[in-house]
Amino acid sequence: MALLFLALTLCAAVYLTSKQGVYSHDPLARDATSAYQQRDPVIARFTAMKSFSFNENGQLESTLYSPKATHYKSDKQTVKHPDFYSYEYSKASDTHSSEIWHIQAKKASHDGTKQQSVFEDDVRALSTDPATNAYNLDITTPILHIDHIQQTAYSNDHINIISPTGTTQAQSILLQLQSRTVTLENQVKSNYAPPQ
Amino acid sequence: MPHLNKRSIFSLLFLLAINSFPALHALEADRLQQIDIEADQATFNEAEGLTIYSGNVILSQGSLELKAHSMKIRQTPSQQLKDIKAESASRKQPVTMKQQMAARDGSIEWVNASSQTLIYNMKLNRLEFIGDANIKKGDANIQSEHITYDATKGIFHASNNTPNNKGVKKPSSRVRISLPAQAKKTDEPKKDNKNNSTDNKTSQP
Repeated sequence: MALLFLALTLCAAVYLTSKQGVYSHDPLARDATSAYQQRDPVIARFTAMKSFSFNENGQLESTLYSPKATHYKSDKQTVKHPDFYSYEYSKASDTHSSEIWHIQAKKASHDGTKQQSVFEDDVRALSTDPATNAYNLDITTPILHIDHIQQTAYSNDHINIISPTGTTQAQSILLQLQSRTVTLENQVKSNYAPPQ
Repeated sequence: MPHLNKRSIFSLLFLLAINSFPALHALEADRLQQIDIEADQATFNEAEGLTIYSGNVILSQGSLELKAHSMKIRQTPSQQLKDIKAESASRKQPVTMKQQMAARDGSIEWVNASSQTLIYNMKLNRLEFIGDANIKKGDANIQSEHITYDATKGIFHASNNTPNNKGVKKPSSRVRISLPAQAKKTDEPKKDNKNNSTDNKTSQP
């Protein structure tokens, strides 16, 4: 998988010239939410961030927006109020993308080396039907791990799903982002509205 | 009078027998209830509109309760439930169904059924029991390879052939219908063909 999450530093460089980004070197960054961030020197802070990742065909695979982000020396980032969008293409040469997932949360951390993100607090994943552009699934969970290389997301925490046909609860979820397949495990309970 | 060959006679006998099975209607109120499903695992493929529940799957809708190893739920493109296909893990653990049904006299009775596969067509309100199908109400019983129940009309249809996965029919087995002996309810003397015991009465179309 080529060009996954084009290093945030590259995007950062673009934004630093236009968005009043602030360079700092703060080993005890206030925003730090985990142990590594306490020890990890801050490379840059941004008041706005937009990063892109492309697949091997050069097609835009996903984007990440955040109004506030901190980039650390170890190629890790923390972002506030992230908005992650994932796209699909009908064929490799297609230039027309369809948004298939929109994932948001109060905060997230991203490991640039492993290409993995952790979205936390009021995580909401919305799937979109490319044919109708309407939201199909509305998934909420306290925490969601995203693997940008595998194009998967998972959580082992409480899951609630609202779909046009009803609601589902479970204690574990695995999302195959590109195939829009949702696997639920552990105490799966669904309620469907009666057929009309 | 038209000539009746052997096959026609068997068909006639079969229809007589199946019409003797107590007429039952699934409670209409059940259809209006929410459908609840519990399972160990579920996989939802959005693109195909298909959800597969597996592991101790229990579906309930009003008085209806289905238990199966796995259930596939298909949705229409307009996000309506289309049908449910419940499958057993093995012949020893068939799909089971129980539901309260209303008899002609208005009484409510439990009906228990089992089969290897059960297809519930929600649009047609029709249940299809495939493979070792068995439907029981009180002492009355139907056994066959394939039983279809039209829940709207309250009609059972049993046949002894079930298409397998390749569309080739299995060798014939027999349809078995058992009806309990009933005491006469009136003093009027009349010919009483229906109330006689027909235990293990079999017919082969």
